[in-house]
Amino acid sequence: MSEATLERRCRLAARAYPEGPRAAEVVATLMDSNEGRRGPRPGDVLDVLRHGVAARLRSTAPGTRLGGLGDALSAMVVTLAVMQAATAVAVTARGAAAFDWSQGEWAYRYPYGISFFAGRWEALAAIGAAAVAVVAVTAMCFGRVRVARVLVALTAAAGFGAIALTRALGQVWSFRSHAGIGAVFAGVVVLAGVLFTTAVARASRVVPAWWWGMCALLCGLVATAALQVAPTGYGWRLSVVSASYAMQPAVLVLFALPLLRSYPYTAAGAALVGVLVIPFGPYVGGPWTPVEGLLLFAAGLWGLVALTATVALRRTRRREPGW
Amino acid sequence: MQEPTFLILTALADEARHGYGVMQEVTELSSGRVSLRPGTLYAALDRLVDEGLVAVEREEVVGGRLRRYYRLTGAGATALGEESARLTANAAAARSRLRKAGVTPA
Repeated sequence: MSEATLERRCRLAARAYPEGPRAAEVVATLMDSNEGRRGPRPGDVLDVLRHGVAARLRSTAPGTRLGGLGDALSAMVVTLAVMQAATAVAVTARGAAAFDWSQGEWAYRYPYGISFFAGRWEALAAIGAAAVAVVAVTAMCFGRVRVARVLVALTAAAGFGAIALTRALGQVWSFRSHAGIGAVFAGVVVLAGVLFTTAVARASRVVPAWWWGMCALLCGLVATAALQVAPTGYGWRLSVVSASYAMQPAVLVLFALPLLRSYPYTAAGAALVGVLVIPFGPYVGGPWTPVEGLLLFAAGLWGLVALTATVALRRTRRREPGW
Repeated sequence: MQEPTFLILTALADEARHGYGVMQEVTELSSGRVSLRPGTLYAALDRLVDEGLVAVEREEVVGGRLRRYYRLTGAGATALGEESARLTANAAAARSRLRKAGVTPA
């Protein structure tokens, strides 16, 4: 009875390792070194968990695949990802400019009513993102997949950082100066780009794509929750808009990071965006502009097509790893 | 070379051992000073296998438990020998200096 309990608990701890001989080996060693006990020592469990997770992160993500030269589907996805990232930066920049300090409190002027590039910083950020996007697509077209992936991540990071910070600064901390928002915006874009790109470079080789998607989604939800409880004073409508905004990082990451890893994830992510996220915009009258909405809709449609194609192709190309 | 690595290589110097065997041997070699946990041990073994110092010799299932035996490779033996020589030289130098200072090493 005691040994069965020990075995069960050892197996539970060893689940931190990827399935395979190593996990079985760890179970055996844990059981050997904890003979006579009902469970492994806490120190052993922590040690196994730590190294197990590390081993899991080092292992190759199952079913992942990176596109290459002549890979039309992959090139299309990268293009879409770049477009989305660049658009997000531009739209967010405009959103940042829409916060207006008047009569002692912050007001959120709806982005539709203002010029496209309301400030110098925003314009520079958007133009920079567009330039990076062009380079990324070019790199992709010439088969420099890694370069393209890093550049796309950089662009996405710019969007991600911008969205998060402008929302946080504008709503929660109530910055008084529009120039201040612009400066912080630009700084964060750079910082987020560096940090995110580093993280991507380290992790994209080993982390399954859907983890990125789920993490991004979680971040979006947490950001949403934070904005809900923040003393914004703008009522439920802006909260819903905030939720829509907060989800945009998830959209970005779903597009730009995991989707470069493999066709199945690409298709699933794009389809998810198309089916679940796009409707948020029109219903809440949220931050989606017509152009952005069109892009997202096209992306969603493309995702559904890609998903169907992936499923169909998978049946006929089972032997090829990654499908 | 870190001490746990040195001790793992030493534990495998005379015969192939499985994970738990290595853990026991390391504890014995270090007189209980170094005690490896399973996760740490396998991380170290993985690294040593990658570096070509250790290789998997065989696998056995004993009482439903998988035992994978590891052995020292030629490169591992060379590395262990070089490290031993370095440690011996360092120890000799330390003892010599202590004697000059009038301290009798333990």
